[in-house]
Amino acid sequence: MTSFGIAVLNLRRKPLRTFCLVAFVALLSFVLSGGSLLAYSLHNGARSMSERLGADALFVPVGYEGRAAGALLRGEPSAFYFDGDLSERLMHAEGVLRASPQLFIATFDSSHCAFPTQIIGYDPKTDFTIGPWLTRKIPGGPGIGEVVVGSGVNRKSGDEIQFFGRLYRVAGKLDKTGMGFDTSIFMNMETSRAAFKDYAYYAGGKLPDADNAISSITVDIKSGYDPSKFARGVRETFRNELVSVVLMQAMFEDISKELGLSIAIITALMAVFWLLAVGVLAILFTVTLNERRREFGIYRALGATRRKLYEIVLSESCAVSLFGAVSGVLLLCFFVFPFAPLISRSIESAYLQPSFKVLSMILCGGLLVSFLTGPIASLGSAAVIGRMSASAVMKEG
Amino acid sequence: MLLEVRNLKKEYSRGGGVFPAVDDVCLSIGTEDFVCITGPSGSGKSTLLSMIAGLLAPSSGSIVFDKLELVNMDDDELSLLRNTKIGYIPQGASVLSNLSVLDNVILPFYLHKKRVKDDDPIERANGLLARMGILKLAETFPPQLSGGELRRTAIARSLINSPLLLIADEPTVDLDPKNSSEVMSIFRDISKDGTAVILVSHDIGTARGGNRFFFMESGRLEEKTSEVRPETGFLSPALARG
Ligand SMILES: Nc1ncnc2c1ncn2[C@@H]1O[C@H](COP(=O)(O)OP(=O)(O)OP(=O)(O)O)[C@@H](O)[C@H]1O
Ligand SMILES: [Mg+2]
Repeated sequence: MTSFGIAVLNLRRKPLRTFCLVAFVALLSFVLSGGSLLAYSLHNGARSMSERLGADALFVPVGYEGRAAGALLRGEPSAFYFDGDLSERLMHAEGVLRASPQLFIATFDSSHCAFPTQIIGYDPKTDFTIGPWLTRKIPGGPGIGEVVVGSGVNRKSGDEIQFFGRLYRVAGKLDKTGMGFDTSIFMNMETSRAAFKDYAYYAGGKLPDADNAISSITVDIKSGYDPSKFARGVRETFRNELVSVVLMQAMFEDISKELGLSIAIITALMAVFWLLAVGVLAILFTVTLNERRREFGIYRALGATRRKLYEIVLSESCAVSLFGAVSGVLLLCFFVFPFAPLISRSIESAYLQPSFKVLSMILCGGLLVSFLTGPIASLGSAAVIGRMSASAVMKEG
Repeated sequence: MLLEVRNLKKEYSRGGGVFPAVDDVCLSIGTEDFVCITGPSGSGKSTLLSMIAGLLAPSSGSIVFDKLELVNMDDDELSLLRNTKIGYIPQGASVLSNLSVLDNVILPFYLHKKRVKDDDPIERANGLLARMGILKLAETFPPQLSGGELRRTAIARSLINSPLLLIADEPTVDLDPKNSSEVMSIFRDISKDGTAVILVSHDIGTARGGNRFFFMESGRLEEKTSEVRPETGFLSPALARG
């Protein structure tokens, strides 16, 4: 009959009180682990995105910098074009190591398109950002009338898919990228120029010449060139053509800043929640301890030292918070693993679930911090016991 | 002498003034003694017992128990002494409701590390419960017990560590005459077995059950020889609270 054994007996005989305390700690551990997981995944998503796109810079028409980012990162359908035949000149601009053009076409939410999405026409010969993601290499890239689909698109190789009233054959699929690529459709330049004509037919309005139009050029900068000097140089050279240079690094810094704020808010909320939990538990423990004055007086009358009483109280709070913390994390696992893809989709591509190792570290951290809540909250009880006179037993309770 | 109380005093401050709850009490008890104390409510009986049990520090005076001066001992030493050498039955309900009868009885055994390794507390506890006539209730929890059964549990518990002195504060209150006299005969047996007993009771008949009889009033303790009948009146039913 150790202090811990006595504590367990005490908890067992007060099932309602014990259940409430355990449920409270479980909620805390759920929120702490879940919050850390979310914050880490967002951070993870933002950081690896710049690595994943695999280009240093993007040439886009002036005014479309944000939409280009939206199309690539979040798969927001958009269509914008350089006027005239610029691509050759841009691809050989000063400081360019390699470059590859893309044509963006936004599909419609109507009967002649499978679903609204982003079609990205690319040039398999020069491409260095899309090809590496293919689950199985396609020599020479997709052929005419063929498409490659992002990992999130509900089609497999050999399926057919309709855009602007025309059927395309799915020739391949990309791995999960955590970017807009996951929901996009890819075609070679020729196919996409044909699709662009269909698009122009349905969209109407003034559109550039389909044979020359391009939306953006992904660029790697020669080593030795300073990215911002390179960008300034290109803008200067193509001032009349209204070319803008999006430096990936800078763009991801912006996104990181935005995400950083969300992460900071999540972290702050978790800290506040934890402090509140410590406070609430401390009050609960102290109140119940005051109610149990007589009980503790009896222990003292039987010869228990103050230390022994504190051991019992501490064991009770440890048992409660261990049980609660573990249940909270288990609950989180039941929620998160089956629903991870859903979460990932609902908070956009910036969410990237960490590896198993990191995941277990986060869960263990949440478990540990929530577990510590109990013992920390019961520190106040030590003071109460210290002040409690041994003769408390004289008073009837 | 097992217990030597000299000029013991406990002052309480209340409502701005200081008053002695226990006033200049002297008391010597040997192992063969069965001491009964009676007196009106508020006369300081429980206060006196708490000081003897080392639960309450006196304002002045000395308590020498088993050759040790309690006044000089610290909280941990007093706890150990109380655990190993004193059996204390507090006034009122004192059986822990979270523990079964058996667990209540063996609890004091586990509150301090024991030197004797091969001592089996459960066997001892069962023996004590059998002696109290409640062995069949060993696994029962206190809320399901009667007042008499609870008292017997508390007595069994106070004996688990074979104390030198048993202190019982109102152990027969609330009990019907039959139960009350049964409990008193248990105490007489304990006393015969060589454990000193100090027992407090409102009931003068019960208090006559020991071999020494004391009367307490306003903090002062006075021994009455058997010929001298104590003044009656302080035991009107209105005063005798439980
Ligand atoms: N902590 C305290 N502070 C102030 N006064 C106290 C305190 N504890 C007890 N008293 C007072 O000391 C006196 C003696 O109390 P005590 O409990 O010893 O009486 P008692 O003889 O045991 O009474 P009863 O027969 O009702 O149990 C009472 O007047 C009581 O009100
Ligand atoms: Mg009393």
